[in-house]
Amino acid sequence: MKKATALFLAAVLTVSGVLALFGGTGFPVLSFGALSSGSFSAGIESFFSENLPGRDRLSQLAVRLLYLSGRREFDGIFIGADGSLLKNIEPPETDSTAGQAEAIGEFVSDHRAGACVMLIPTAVIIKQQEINSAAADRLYNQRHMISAVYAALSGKAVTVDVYQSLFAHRGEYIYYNTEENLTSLGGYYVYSEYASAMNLRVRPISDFNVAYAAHGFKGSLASGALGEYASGDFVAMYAYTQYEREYTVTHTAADGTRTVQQGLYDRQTVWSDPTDILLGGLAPVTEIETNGPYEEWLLVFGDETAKGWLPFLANHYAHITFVDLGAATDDMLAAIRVSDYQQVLFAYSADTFMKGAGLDRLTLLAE
Amino acid sequence: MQLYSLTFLYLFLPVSLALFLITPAKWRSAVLFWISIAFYGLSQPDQFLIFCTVLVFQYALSEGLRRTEGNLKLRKAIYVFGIMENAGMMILFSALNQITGRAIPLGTMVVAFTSLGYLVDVYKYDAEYETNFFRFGLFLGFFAKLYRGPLVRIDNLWKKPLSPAATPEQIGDGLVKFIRGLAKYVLLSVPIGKICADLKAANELTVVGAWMVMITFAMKIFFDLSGFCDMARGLGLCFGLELPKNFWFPFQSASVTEFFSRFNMTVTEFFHYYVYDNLKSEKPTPLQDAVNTSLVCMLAGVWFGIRMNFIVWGVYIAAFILLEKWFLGRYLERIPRFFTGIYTFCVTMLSMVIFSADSLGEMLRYFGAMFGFGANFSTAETAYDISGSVIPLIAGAILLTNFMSMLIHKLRRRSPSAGGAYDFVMSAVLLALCTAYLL
Repeated sequence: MKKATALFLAAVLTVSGVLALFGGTGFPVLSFGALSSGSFSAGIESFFSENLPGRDRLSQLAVRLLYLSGRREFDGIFIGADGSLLKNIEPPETDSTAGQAEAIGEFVSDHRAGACVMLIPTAVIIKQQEINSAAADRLYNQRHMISAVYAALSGKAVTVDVYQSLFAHRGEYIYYNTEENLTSLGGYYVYSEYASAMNLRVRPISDFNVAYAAHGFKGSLASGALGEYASGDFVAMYAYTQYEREYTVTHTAADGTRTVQQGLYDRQTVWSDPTDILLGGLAPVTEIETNGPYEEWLLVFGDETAKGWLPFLANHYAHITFVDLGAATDDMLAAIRVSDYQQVLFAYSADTFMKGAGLDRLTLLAE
Repeated sequence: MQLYSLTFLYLFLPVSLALFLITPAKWRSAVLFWISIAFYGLSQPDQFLIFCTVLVFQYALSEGLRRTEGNLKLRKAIYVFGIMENAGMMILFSALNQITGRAIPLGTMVVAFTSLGYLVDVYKYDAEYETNFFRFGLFLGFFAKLYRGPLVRIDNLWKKPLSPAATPEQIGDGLVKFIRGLAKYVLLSVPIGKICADLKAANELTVVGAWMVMITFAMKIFFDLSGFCDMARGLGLCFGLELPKNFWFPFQSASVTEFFSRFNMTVTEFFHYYVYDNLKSEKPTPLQDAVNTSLVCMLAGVWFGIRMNFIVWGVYIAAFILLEKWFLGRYLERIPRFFTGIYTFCVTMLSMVIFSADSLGEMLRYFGAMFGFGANFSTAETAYDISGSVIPLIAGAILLTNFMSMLIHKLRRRSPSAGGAYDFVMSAVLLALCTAYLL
């Protein structure tokens, strides 16, 4: 029996290793530099982690066992009682939010632009009732961070509190179950708060027709073994019905390629991220032109959350330029003339804002 | 790459084992030495040169001693230098670790202590010199024992010659042991360590929380140490080296003295042999006994690193050993084992407060909370942290005792083939689970 055990175990180890080596991709290149820096060893480890035969089943097995054992948090993702996956956010080691607020303040004084700041809490804090109360007590206090940033920007920019509104609607489908983002409904509540703060006439939700797409999709949070514990998602597309409006969305990629799309939603393309149906996704620079009665231009610095609320804002501006400061090139930023815009909006999720959001690159913008 | 990584399991181990087995017997020690060097290079590339230098330097010291047999003064000078150099290496790296946070190079303590023992042995003519560089290198730096030992003496390691070993039976035994050790680390020590860290980070320290921090800390340490030692022993068997056992259900001990002799056994025996036995006199006074026992216990603490907590932990353990020797022992003998077990458990758990504390303030806070001073009994947060990993806790608690071991032993006695089948199935299951957790 000992011989059989030796043979079996040696065979399992060898055959699995050989299958991974010959069937897998991404084996790191051996070089002295890679070897001495440790990146070669790390590369082999991730190669085996990705290519080991049966890896998905084994990962699922591990998650199932941990779940059975009582665990509800996996690598910073909570499994909510309502079937949502809620990503925990941790503040960076050094608090840089004051620096971010300062960068916005300097931008406002340099460009004398009318600015508005909107920090959007993430799902984990708004839907904290879905996780164990003891775990919820330990969550990073996003509200406190948002208040501190708003206090630092007092007198320099209009600040929009969307926390209360989202919290009041926490039982509704305002965040995707398996993506770290607002749904269109969540986006509507955010838009409502922004419009109220900017004295724009808030369109009631009954003014919109809603269509649905991508039923039951599972997003990036469910890409691992957690998928089986999460409910599926869908994408809602809100279309303003009171007046005939035409929208042209132009995406400018980092290499300068421009693509033009008619309408706010693109259902024709097969998207790897179904939420890209909204606006056709966000490029480093995304522009929306609307043929409505409004003449004002809006410059938005933001992140992925914009897919939820930007379609609603399109009804209030003739031209909106959305800029992803982390993805836009220096030339793209230099080409933006801030003076062309009557309003500037900084809108980020609390998580993106804490991580910097690329706000240090604001200095690259032209007057 | 580490012993518990996928790279080691599915690439390094099969390749090195195959290489070892196809090598003619007379070159196996050289091949195994180079395998150890390659392992170190892949696991600790930034400390690779330090490790190689240390091995060469220790060999040079050994050769220095051997070649100055006729010159007693020079021989003594080399001996003293070697002792100081090894002690200095431990102090230096421990100090750097505490001041700069730089990790102690893998194997520093194992190599330094093993080398110290070797120098004493050969200087006193208690063991023969190892003149073969590869065998010497393996004695100090066999890759599997660099993590947590066990500590070996030169005459113990080479009891059985290297070449004829590594039979299929031995490899089978070795792989079973290795996987068992891997499971102890991956499936028990790591998750239990997470519970311990979560409990420590709780907003409020409660009575249950404080006790659970110490219990989970003790379990984490135990499964970490014994897991790595099992891995080392298993790999040793695969490569034809028989490494000694290092733990024997210490948490089932009936006294602190017994606990100390069953916990990290090779380290305790090492200090007993090299320190206690050398210092003891025919009729030691109680003071001499106290000093010698304290010294051995403190050194056993220093094994974990040169930190004040570890030294104080040694003194604490020594105090109970002496108390039992002089006074308590006679009463403990008359008390049922269940109650002496509780006494030992409480004393050792309280010792974990000293062992794990980051500061004196934290130590006092935990001692206070464990006895209910200024702490609530429990909170929802404590319950949440514990409930997060119930299975590893229950499995760990069972495996701290010899219950399973006895069952398997009985099974093997009744039916050796059933015992073999158990090893086969259990190893396959544990390997799958470890792989799943490592992904």
